Amino acid sequence: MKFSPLIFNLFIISGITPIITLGMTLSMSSHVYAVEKNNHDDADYHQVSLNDVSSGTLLFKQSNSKRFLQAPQLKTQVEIEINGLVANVKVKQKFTNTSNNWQHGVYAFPLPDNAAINQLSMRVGDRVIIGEIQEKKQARKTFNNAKKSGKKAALIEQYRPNLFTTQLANIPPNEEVEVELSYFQQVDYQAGEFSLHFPMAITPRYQPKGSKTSATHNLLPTLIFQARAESRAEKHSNTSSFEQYSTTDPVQGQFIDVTVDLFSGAELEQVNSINHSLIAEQQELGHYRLKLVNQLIEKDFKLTWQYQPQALPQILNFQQTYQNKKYGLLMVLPGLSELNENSAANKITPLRELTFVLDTSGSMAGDSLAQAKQAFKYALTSLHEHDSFQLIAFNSYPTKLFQAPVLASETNKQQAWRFVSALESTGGTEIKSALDLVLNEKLTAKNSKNEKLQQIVFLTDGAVGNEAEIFSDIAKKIGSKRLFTVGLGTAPNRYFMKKAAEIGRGSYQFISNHNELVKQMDRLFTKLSQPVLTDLNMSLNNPNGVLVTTPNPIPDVYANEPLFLSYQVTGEQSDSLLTGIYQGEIWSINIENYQQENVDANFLGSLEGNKTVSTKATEELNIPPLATLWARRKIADHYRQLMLYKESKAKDNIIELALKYHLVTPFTSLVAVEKEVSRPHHQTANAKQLKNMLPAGQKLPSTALNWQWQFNGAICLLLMSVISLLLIPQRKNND
Amino acid sequence: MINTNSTKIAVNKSTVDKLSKKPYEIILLSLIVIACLLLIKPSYLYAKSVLAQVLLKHAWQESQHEYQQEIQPQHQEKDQRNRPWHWADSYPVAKLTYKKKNVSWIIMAGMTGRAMAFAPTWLEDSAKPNQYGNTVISAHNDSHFNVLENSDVGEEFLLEDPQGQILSYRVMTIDIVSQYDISSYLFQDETMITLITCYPFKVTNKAKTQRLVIQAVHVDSLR
Repeated sequence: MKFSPLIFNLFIISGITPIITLGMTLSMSSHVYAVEKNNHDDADYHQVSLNDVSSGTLLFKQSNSKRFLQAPQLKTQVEIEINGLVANVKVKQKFTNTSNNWQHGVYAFPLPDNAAINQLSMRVGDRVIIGEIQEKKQARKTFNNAKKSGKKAALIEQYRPNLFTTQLANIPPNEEVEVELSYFQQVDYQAGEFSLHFPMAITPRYQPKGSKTSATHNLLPTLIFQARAESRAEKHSNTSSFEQYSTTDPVQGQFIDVTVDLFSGAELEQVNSINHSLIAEQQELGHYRLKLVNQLIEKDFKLTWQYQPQALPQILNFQQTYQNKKYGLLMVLPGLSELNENSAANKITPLRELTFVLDTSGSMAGDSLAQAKQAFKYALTSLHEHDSFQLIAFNSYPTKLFQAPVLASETNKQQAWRFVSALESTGGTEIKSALDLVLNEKLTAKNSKNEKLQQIVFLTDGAVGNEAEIFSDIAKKIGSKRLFTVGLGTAPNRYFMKKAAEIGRGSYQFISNHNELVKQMDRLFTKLSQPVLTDLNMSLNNPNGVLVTTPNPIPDVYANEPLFLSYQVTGEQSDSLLTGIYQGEIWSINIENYQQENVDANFLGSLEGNKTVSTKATEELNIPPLATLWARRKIADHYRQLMLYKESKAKDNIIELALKYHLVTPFTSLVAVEKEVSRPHHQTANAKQLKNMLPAGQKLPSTALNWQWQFNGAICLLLMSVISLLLIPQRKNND
Repeated sequence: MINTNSTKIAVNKSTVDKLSKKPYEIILLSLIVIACLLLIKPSYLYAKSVLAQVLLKHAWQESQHEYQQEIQPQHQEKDQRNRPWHWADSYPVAKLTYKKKNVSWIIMAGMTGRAMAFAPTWLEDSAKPNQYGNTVISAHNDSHFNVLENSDVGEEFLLEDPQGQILSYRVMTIDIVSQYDISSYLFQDETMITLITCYPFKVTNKAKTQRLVIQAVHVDSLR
């Protein structure tokens, strides 16, 4: 009796021990995991993915990992030339392969939106490799051949709209790599201010918590740099400064020189750099030279400038000739009506019909919807009593507030406000049905013979799946309506929003922080209430010539929102006529071009003078920047055609344009292959395998149910208990 | 040690047995109950993924039938598509067949955890099945895509779209990537599919941070 519990205990213990061990291992393993994770962070010091790239960076590949090691950067030189609205940016960067192994590298550069890359050259040691545009399949083949046979190669492809990557195969150990890249960009304009952005912030690094700097030395040996006497004279660098960098930490010692030549075509009010101090001087009227020397790379370079305010709309015309065709860029700067007191007094603003389409899906829950409601309130206040409006809220289904658009009377406004206040966020995001409703509904309104300017403001935070379908829908049904898209949060599809607004002759806006929503929407509604020039049309005086504009149709000009119009003229005479409606009256202006390579500044009413600007931006290629810009916009049009209607002809057109204008597109690459074999055959290019994983934005879906672990555990427990239970009768028999 | 409840049960259960051994028996019995309870969740998860495929295949056949009979259903609205079960918030978009293992799955729209519990899912932002571009499909590695563990380059997948067109895809690349590497989502200039599942396949309780990415290209375009 006294002995038996002991035996019984043994049975029990034999049953329970595995369970406890199991539980122990379980908790242990999660502990071990946590420790491991920390170690990962240490090892990840220099590792980045292509998504992390925030400035021109050379990355070394690792086998079995899609993350990269960052190559030490020595020096960056940037030359920017701005012609009115087009910037030609030339980037020169130096890197080293400080390891003792051959490396396969990737040079990544986050291009600003609207940039068109056209030139690449790579220098490894004393050898120079120049890029050439080829159709993509061909390009990839060439590169693979080079990789196998040990030639150096550079391949540039456009993966996503704003990140360019160049592959650099076979970089010798302790070798210096110089990358030269040039691209075209259209400058930004916001509220009277032009700005140009150049990415040069350091790619974020993930500092280990214990901050073991030795970890970095294990990965990449410290910078070994021998200052080479540069045979070529370089404008803004000297050897002594190079030597200085060699002594500093590779992470810290990243310096940059920036030179900007700004051809504005007219006198500027002011020129500024937001993050850096720079030296600015006016060379001649409408030509400014700016310098930024030996700056530490910390923040992006952002240049802003403003024209002197004019009361009336100001037209700046820039034109260049390439292969018997004239390429131009027309900038229509809306005047500031406040300056013109006479016209402000008897200003006639066209009547408007505003439709506000609001996303009330589940993802808008909380602050987003509250802010959107607030924004709608602003929309209501921006309406005059003779304007009319409509409200459509949508989630899985769209809901109309009014049967048809109603006048913006106090009672209607209040009704709308009550309706909006009661909206709750729930359900999915069915963008298509909402757009269908708004586009069809507006048609009925048009039948009631009103001549109002029909504006649609579309606010959503959802991703759009069936883009092509929606585009073709808008294109078919938009008519004379204008579509303004507002994307909220990080999810909205920029491509979709931008294109939808372009088809709809409107504008697009992205608001990543919902706290900004009210402010930004207020600005949008203010803009919408101040159309300056509408129904614009451009035609050639010479009937034999052909004029093609992009965007086509030409969008309206609002206060504080200038128009950038790219055009191509075939034929001798490029003088043309721009017509539109200004303050309710038909308005027109002659755009005259006196000679090639001229930049004309035409002012409405009076011609204030011409400034001759010599452009030598693309000496190597002899393609004027304006021609490149035109081609770039044309390619974007074709690409949209391709995405919309899957026309293979569009693809051929893109390739043709890309080859002619030396542009990288989804179907063409810039390829450069060196002829001389530089790597000894017995040595294979190294790509170290290292642990990966870093937290960064979007990620692939979680694809493990993890049911088996629990299942196995439970089965174990079940078996143990059953066996133990079965053993109890034996003990009883023993008694 | 012995609380009042267990004593009560013990007394009810066996009055003949000696008091000393009862607590152990009770503990064991309750352990069995706990084990059974623990079994419910994993069994449910797995059973759901298997059973849902049966329902989905039925729904798929129905929509195929409809298409062939040229019945004009109101396919425009999402809600009127053939739903596998009435409360489903997604719908079948394609049928994927893995030739080597002779298994097939019905793919559902929307790469959400909710849909993936039932079926492999199609990323709505990617190309439509069998259309120009990159069609991205993902599934759990311990339910539907568990057979992909030993997949190899050169193997073939068949993809059937709602129009009944069947295209064959040949595996060109197999990669193991970090969960943060979304480069496999990128638009590609060919008709291709990308299959994504968690890696490694071994049973653990940890969250898996790597993904197996299989990319297969439409066979006709390879010629």
